[in-house]
Amino acid sequence: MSETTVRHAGNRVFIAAVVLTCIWVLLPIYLLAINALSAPAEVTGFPKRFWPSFDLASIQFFLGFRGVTSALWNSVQVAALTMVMAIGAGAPAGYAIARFDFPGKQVFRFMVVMTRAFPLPLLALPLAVLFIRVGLDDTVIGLAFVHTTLALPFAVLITYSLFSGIPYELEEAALTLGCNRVQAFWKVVMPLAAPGIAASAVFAFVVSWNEVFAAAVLTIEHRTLTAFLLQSLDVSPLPLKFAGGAALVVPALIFIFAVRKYLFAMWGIANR
Amino acid sequence: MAEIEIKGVGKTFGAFTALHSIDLTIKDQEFVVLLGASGCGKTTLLRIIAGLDSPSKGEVWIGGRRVDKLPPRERGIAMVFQNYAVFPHLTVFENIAFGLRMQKLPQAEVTQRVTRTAELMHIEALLQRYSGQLSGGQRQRVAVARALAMEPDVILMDEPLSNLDALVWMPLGLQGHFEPLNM
Repeated sequence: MSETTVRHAGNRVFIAAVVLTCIWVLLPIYLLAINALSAPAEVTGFPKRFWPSFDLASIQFFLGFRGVTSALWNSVQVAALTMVMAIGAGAPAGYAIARFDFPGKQVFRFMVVMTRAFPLPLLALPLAVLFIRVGLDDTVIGLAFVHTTLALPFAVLITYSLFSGIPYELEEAALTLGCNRVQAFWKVVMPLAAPGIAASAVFAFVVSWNEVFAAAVLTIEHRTLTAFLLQSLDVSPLPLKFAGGAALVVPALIFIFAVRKYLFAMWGIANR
Repeated sequence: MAEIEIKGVGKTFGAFTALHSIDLTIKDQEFVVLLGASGCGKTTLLRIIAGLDSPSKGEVWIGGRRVDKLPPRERGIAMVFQNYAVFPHLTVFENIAFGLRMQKLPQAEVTQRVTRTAELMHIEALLQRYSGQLSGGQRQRVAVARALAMEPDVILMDEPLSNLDALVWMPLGLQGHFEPLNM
């Protein structure tokens, strides 16, 4: 085999891998979209049409279903609280790692990532017991605490790369021009970091929005949408499942798409 | 109006000694240039005078005041950074006005001082631009203008030769305008 044929073969494998990955990701989303936007009768029918009929009956049925709106509202509350707490604790940590040398910095960075190595099921049971003991079980704030621990590592890492990208010289210049440290941060660093911090906040929101395990274990009356759907999965009709799936996926997709360049920056890929 | 006195200043970073023991007096209105191979501690000394680093030993006096425990903002200095450090989110005007606004000067005074220093550095046409829309030399002139607008006792410049463009304008403009100038 000549060198060019090898390269062509390599190209073909690459393209095949790309196509497979796209199908892997896009096909479920496509099925979700087409069924959510079809009339309930079409959802259960076969064969499927390529284009949805844009019938909103499924969505209306979903929104009118008992418990959906309160679950949706719970999801929004938990996600918003998670967002505030993850950024409130994560951004200062990211700033500290980016700007200061302190003993144990490397260990700290490692531990931040390590928290994601714990499987959530392992934590959920002791947490549930603890929450019952302190009276946090089945509350929005209790679940938000758990989601914050999940979102926090990302918040720290994203804001860390964000603050690292802002030259320290700018802060020093502000210091020589009459600012104290806090003023230098708010007048110079914050305006430059704000879009990235917003992106990091949105990511924390999505982490919470999509989380199902802790939500299912730790809430009973105050179900979030994911937990609610999981609970009613085997008893609810098909159109409800698809409409519910779309209600979960679409906001997450839009948010992630909006902030993608900051997430790539977190993993060291250029800002494109 | 400021004499700089450096008394036995030393700086160590861990096991590395950047400055052994520097004694230096720079008289009021004197123009001093520190020369030396790269890595010999010029920037470190400047940063110690500015208050961005603290000396491991020794004292720094500016205008008869001991300043080595004071934060940069209380030392009466202005610094032009090696990479200029022009704030990218502010216009040239707001960059030059930054320190004046921190001093809470009235708007009329701010405008007047910004305009005067901008004319001095020949950047009056660039006042509404952002850092990203400037060339390297223009950016350095903004950094110099920002320092001059403060009318500080001492001006510290790190690598002012890195862009000849700024140097060409400076000595001409400075004469008569800013008498107390230490560099």
